[in-house]
Amino acid sequence: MHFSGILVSAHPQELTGTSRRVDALPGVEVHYLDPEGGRIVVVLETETLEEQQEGLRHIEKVPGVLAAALVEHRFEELVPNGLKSE
Amino acid sequence: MNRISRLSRRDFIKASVAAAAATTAGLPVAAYGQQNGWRWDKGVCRFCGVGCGIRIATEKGKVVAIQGDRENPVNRGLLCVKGYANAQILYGEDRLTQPLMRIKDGKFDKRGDFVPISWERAFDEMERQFKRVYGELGPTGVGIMGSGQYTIQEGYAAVKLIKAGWRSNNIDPNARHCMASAVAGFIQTFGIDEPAGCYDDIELTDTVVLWGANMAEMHPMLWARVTDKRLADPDYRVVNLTTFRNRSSDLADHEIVFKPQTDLAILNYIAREIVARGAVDKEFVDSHCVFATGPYDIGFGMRSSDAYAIDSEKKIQARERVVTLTREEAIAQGKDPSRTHRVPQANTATAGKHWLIGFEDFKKALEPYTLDFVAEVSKGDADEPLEEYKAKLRQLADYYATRGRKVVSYWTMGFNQHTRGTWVNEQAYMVHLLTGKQAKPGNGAFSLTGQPSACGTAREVGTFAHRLPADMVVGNPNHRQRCEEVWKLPAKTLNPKVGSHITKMMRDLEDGSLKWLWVQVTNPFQATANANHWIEAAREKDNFIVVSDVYPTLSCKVADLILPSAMIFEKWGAYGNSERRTQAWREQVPPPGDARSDLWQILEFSKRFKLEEVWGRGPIPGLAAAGFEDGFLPDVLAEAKKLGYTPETSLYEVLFDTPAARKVAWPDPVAGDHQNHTVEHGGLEWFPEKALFEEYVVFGRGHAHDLADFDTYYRDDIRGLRWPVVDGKETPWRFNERYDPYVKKGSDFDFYGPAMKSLPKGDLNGVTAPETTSLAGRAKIFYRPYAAPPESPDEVYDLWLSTGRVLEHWHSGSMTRRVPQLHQAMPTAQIFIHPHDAEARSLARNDLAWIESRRGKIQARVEIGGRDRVPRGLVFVPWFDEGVFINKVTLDATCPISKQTDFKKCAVKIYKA
Repeated sequence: MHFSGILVSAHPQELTGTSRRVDALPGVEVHYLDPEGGRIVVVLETETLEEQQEGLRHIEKVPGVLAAALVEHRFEELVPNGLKSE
Repeated sequence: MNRISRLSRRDFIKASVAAAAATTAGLPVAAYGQQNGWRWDKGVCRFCGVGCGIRIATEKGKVVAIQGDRENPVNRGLLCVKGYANAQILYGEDRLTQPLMRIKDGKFDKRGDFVPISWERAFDEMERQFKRVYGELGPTGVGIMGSGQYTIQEGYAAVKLIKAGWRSNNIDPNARHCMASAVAGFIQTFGIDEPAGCYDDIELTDTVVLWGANMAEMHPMLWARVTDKRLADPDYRVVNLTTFRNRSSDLADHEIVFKPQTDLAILNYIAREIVARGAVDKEFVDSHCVFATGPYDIGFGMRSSDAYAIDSEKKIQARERVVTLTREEAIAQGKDPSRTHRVPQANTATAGKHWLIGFEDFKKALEPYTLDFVAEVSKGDADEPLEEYKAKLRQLADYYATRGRKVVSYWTMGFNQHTRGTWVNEQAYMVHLLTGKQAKPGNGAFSLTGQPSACGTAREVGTFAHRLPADMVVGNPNHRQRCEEVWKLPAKTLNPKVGSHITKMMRDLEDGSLKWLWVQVTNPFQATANANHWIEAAREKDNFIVVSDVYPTLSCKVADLILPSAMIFEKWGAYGNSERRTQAWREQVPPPGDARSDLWQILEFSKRFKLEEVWGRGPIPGLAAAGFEDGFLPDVLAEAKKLGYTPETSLYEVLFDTPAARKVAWPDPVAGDHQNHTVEHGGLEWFPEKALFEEYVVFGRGHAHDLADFDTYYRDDIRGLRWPVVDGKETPWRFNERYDPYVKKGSDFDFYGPAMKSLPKGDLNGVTAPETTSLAGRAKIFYRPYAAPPESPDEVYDLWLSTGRVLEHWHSGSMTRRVPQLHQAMPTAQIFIHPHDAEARSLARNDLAWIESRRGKIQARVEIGGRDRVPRGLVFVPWFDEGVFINKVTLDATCPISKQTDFKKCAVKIYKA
């Protein structure tokens, strides 16, 4: 799984609506809002890197979004430790 | 691990990714909240060397909340995942709350099981064993392993007890494993320890170059500042030099994956380019620098004899005596590579000596380090095209060589844990001094530390085998005299012979020359390389090992007596961070059960010694210093009488309960409603942390190490101060006339450190004119050659092993593994391996594998993806997990100058379990 921390910049006066539209995208969760700076912190969860790039482009296209930057990326397999994978 | 949070692993990853992203954007993750009845106070983080400011909330004797301190200029309100755990580390379910001793049939027995006992019985046995060993072996038979996590006062008290009281120099901190090479580099280059610059450089520079420092995981709050700047400034550049891809590569503009040890060659390539392009800042170099070099045949800090080596170790150990140069080494040292060069290691005991050379010699020595040669030697990823790699090296040289472009170089363990750690530190200064990019805002070479008070305590207080406070050393008669005056000791009480460094203390346990050991604030039996030897020595030989700790670490399990210690916010203390910032905190909550501060333990134990037991004539094997009888310390009891002491006076009275200390009364207004359990349980009417601090600062004042007085650090408007603090003003950049009051007026720059500032002249082959020249005010630009490590992969042990930390855990995991979120995020250490190397060994992800070296083997599970992407031919194993005891595998070779172990490279094989 790829977990991507994305910093979204949006018009401060449209922040709530923009944030709702971003949150509705598949695999996207809004975690923090900064009303003064017009910034939204989201986490995007995808199976592949291709989907991550696609997800980032979808966020950029949401009305009200000025920019979206990937600032944190983790790749982790969610296999419980101690168990062999098949 | 006792409790696992119900928070799922997916939720945790998401929360930490979100927190990291928010941190990058400068958004405070946890809003400030005020609950009724909570008491808030300022403090400093318990973990790494960054020194983030935190706010601590307590209620009814418990720490209930931790926040980043917005007023603190280091972290500006932000904290990493470990920082938020500062409260939880106090409350793990297996906290040690009473002394435990190995007892059989009602008596101490090395084969006994741990049984809870009283403090009195614990000290009784400690004393009995101490006096037995001291009587048999003298001062060198006892030792203390200390810490870069000691508070300033604890470290100072420990040094005073062992050096002045017991007349032994066998005290050495875990910081030896952490930044000894940085210290040696500072002392040899500048004549004084610690960085010229400060964290402000992050925002003021144009270029950040990481040399073996995964800042994104190891110093996350500095990384947040780098990230902020990178995102805001399109011309800002970040370069990550590393032996494998790590999280710092995600943001970096350039990632340079190099082969272990070849950073030595890369730096010489950069220097060669600087010279060849005419980019030397001639005025700076002519006015403020000299050129120097030293011997190459210095060994690898291993034992000189193989008497204690097992058979499989002997081949590597033999390189301590004779080295056959590799082809690359021969070329790098200007020798004919078609011939065999067998080089006896003649300078193992004099590895640090050096002499002046001319610029022409310096230039000549750099000649072999062409781009073609260095790229061939250093390219670390077999899958990277050579031309791409060369372009990156050229770009790196451009950054350093471009006039007007500001550069800061950062490093930690990649440089310091290195069999040529001192050299590679000096090479970093070499490129900065050549270009005049040193000791200026936004320009400088900056060594970061891994521990919260590696600088403030281990280095500044001097809890090392060779050191005394404020950069003084035991080998210097003037320094000993100064300490004897301040400490009110008879002349020649202090032992002039350097004691055993931490790895040597382990070797001493094995060969029986050290039989009584007190371990404080560290976990050395997990942390020392080639651990099978030391575990066996501790358990099987005639010795007595005391471990003071907060949780049952691996070292506790090896010990004979375990003493329960108080944790950071259960006592008063102060730490000093990487940028020379001293920060203090108050006791917030009482320690649990019978746990007591390390300071209380030191004070109480010192009461058990009369002067006549320790200040008589004492044997010191090999002591031959001027003014001392061969092999003996003198009896100073008669002189002691003149100072008003009697043979029955206790060390407690002489060292701690002094007339000056008694004047520092408890209670003190600085405490407000905060308690002091060290006072309470010691039955004191004085304030030991303040008294010791005020005594200690005397050493540094007027010697460019000035600290403010104790109370200043507790002021509401102060978030630590960067020393030297002169007339109440801190010093952001040292050696620079605009900022540093110690710089000679009119000199612009003055590298005023006094150590090693008188040198003979010579050439690349050695000294040619023995009479020495004074270099007052100048820094040294060293030429140091590329040298191969003592052990490299071969047909049998065919992979490099590198060890290190991960974001969630700190050091041996004794604290962070008690925090459910951190433990769950990274429960065990894995072997990070390249998919091709795994496939070639029929290993799949999560398979159990053996990792084996000439010294030992352990099992761990295989990780192929994950955060650390190693190149083919190299594996990485974190060391936090005592269940994956990787230091049974590592090699105890050290830098021969700094004595710091190289944990970053040895040879292993890996196969399916």
